[in-house]
Amino acid sequence: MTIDAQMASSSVLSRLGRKSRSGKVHSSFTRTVNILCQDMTWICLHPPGVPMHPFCIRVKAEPEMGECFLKVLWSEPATVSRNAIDLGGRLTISLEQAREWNCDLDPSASGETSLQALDTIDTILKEALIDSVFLRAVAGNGPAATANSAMAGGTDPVGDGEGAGSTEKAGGAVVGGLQAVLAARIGCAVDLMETAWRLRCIEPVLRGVKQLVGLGIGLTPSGDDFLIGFIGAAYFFAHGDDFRKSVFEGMRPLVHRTNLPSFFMLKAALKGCYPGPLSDFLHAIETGSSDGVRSAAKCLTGLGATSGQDMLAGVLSWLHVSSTCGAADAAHYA
Amino acid sequence: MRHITLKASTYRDSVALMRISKKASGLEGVSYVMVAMATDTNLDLLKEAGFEPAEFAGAKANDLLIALELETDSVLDEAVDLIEKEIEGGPAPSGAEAYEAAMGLDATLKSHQDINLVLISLPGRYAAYEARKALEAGKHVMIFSDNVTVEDEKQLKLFAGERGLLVMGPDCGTAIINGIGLGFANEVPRGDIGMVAASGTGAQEVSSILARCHEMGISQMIGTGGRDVSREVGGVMVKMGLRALIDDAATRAIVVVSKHPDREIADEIIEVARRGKKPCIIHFTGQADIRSEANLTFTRTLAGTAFEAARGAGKQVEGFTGFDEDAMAALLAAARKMPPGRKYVRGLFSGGTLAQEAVFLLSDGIKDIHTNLKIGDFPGLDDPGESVGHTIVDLGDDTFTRGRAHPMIDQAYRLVRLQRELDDPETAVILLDVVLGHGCHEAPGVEIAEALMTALSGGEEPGKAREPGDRPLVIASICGTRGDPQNYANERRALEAAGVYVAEHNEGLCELALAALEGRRDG
Repeated sequence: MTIDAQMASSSVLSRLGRKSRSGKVHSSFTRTVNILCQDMTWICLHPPGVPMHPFCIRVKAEPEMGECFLKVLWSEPATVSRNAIDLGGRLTISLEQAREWNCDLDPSASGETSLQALDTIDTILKEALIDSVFLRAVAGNGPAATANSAMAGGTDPVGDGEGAGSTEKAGGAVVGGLQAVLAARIGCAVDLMETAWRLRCIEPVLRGVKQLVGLGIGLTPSGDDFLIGFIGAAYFFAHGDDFRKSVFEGMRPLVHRTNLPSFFMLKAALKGCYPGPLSDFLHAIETGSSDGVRSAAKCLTGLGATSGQDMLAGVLSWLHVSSTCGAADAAHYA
Repeated sequence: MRHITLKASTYRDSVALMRISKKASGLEGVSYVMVAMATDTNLDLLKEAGFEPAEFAGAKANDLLIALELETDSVLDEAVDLIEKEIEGGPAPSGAEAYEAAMGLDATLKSHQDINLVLISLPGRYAAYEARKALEAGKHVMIFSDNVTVEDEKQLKLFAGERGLLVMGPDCGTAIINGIGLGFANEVPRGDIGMVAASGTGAQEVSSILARCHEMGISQMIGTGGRDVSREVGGVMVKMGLRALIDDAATRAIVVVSKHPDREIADEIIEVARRGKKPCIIHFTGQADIRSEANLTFTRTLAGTAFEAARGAGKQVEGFTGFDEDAMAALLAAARKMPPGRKYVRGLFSGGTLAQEAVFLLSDGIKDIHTNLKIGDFPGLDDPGESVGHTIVDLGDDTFTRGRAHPMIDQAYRLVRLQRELDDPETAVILLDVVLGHGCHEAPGVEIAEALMTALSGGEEPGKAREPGDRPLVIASICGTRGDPQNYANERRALEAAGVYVAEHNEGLCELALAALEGRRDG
């Protein structure tokens, strides 16, 4: 059976040449077929309705499509070229009519709307009562606050952050199980990253990133989703900042520390390619319309089970950093 | 006790992983479940939390790990078994069932030509696509899902209308077709009253009162989804459902229940009912300015709708109060003892229509009711998570259900909110709806009663137990029937044992609340 692709992301199309390449089906679900090529090109096939993201090829809705996706077997050989993707001879996706979707985020924002956006997002979070451990950490009344209080005692906030959330340091005794350790780790890592970015110290920022890559629940670990949101906001609002560029360079070797689907998302994020709802959210913040931010936040938080919420937390974290990182501070610590 | 289950090179989408985690966490004796990928960072986390590295030796980032923290060893096998089954997709179907489960809607429709209705409960963005497939195959459709665009809804309904097919929904929570309850339906007998409902709990309240108080049954209950009566959708399915019931020989009287409709659409619905000649009882919540005429009766309350429907179907029914006189006397006595600082009503509703009705009925005696319902001129809530003065909240609103189940299924947030209202020294009366029926929480009244008893006795700090005179009054109504799976009598007994004043219906609940406030002032 052949199904036409309607749309393909620019990052996929730019990697596909006339010469075909081989790969295999990495995994398949009711609405997704993930393909991994030998040259490390990652492609996700989706039906209409799933938001576009940097590796997405959206196929046309066909009456039998659901069954076709289910028939695709894991590890089945795949052949990929600029014109078509063949999955074990069972299913062919024709790319002839696929329109290109530009997944590159245009980093043209001035960054001046951050404070206003922060207020709007805080209101949205209150209204939505979103329950994400990352959002609570970023909002400052959850694990981050706990972690901060555990770290209180005159230590340099960008100094020895590693392990500061351990159960022992949080009071000398085991205060809880896995959940408490997870929350404390997130709190410490986010706090470390935010503080170090404010003070423009690259090494502790990367230490925070290292603690977050691959951390937490879900198919794409929550820590990775958080970082994608943070990276996206930094890329968008501080594109020309040399410190931002240096941090991104330092992050590249760290993003291998997670599973494959997440690794590819992080890698794309560092290049400026993001899921559609995240890009829309960042653009909405730039325009400053609270209705626009609210509506874009709703779309973003609908991504996956918690992925969208964690990305929103990442954006919020960067906005906190930028709103408290005044020009004088920046000049002093640069 | 701690335990790790590791599945090599296994992926499940995040929603599935969340469901597995929640299900396993619900087992008694399981304190925490973490379902995650076995990345180095997560493995470090396990070590830090005290898990044995030997248990996950050799794990790779693309493996799936499930970490369990258990209060007791005895639950281990059950928890692991449940998780394994969920990861593999639940209990494996066999034979033809397995084939259909794998092959989806198209294959099922082909192999079961006699199916005439398809119930769709998928994430909203996929629901319209599947609904269209079902309609093209000539099947009626009920869409339980929300988050379907209004454009898709209109197109589906127009497409269905041209073919004489029903589209119940999107966001249709309740229907009863040929005696079979769909979604959150109550156990009601077959009878000769037909219903068209653009409001889920409104339909449940009317059908339950008919069954429980008037011993009357339902011929058909056609749900439409609340947005059907908007100007954008045009009331397509309410009008079509009405016509179907007008033509249905087994239906003697018809009930139309809807939240506040667009005025123009209301007029069109009334015109269809008028031409039908059958007795038609119409309830548009909050709209009390339409005069009854010939075969049309307009009602102000849901309980009144049930009463008029019973009469319309030819039953000699007596009017009845929505509360027990003894309960009213006890309530007034308690109200008079309350300190003067306790002055506000706080309604924590799981049913949207019940909340809406409460706002309208309470506004007869209370000014400035704050609500998250966005109706009329009632002031809103800047933060729906915080009550302000007199407050009625619909806890089934999207803002409360994002990422968690509806409060008719999971009351976790409602109980947190209940505690907060109990702790507020300005709360005089707390109002609760307890909705029973298929698909609902297995014992909502018992759970509320337990929470109340714990809270009022001081919980783990008995020194903080409240004096009887310094407690808010709690009033509840139970929407359900004696045939519902939850056991109506048990629910009522549990609530009453916890000191809750139980009204017969939502209207009675509002009357009790107003009387309590009035009694406080008199006292």
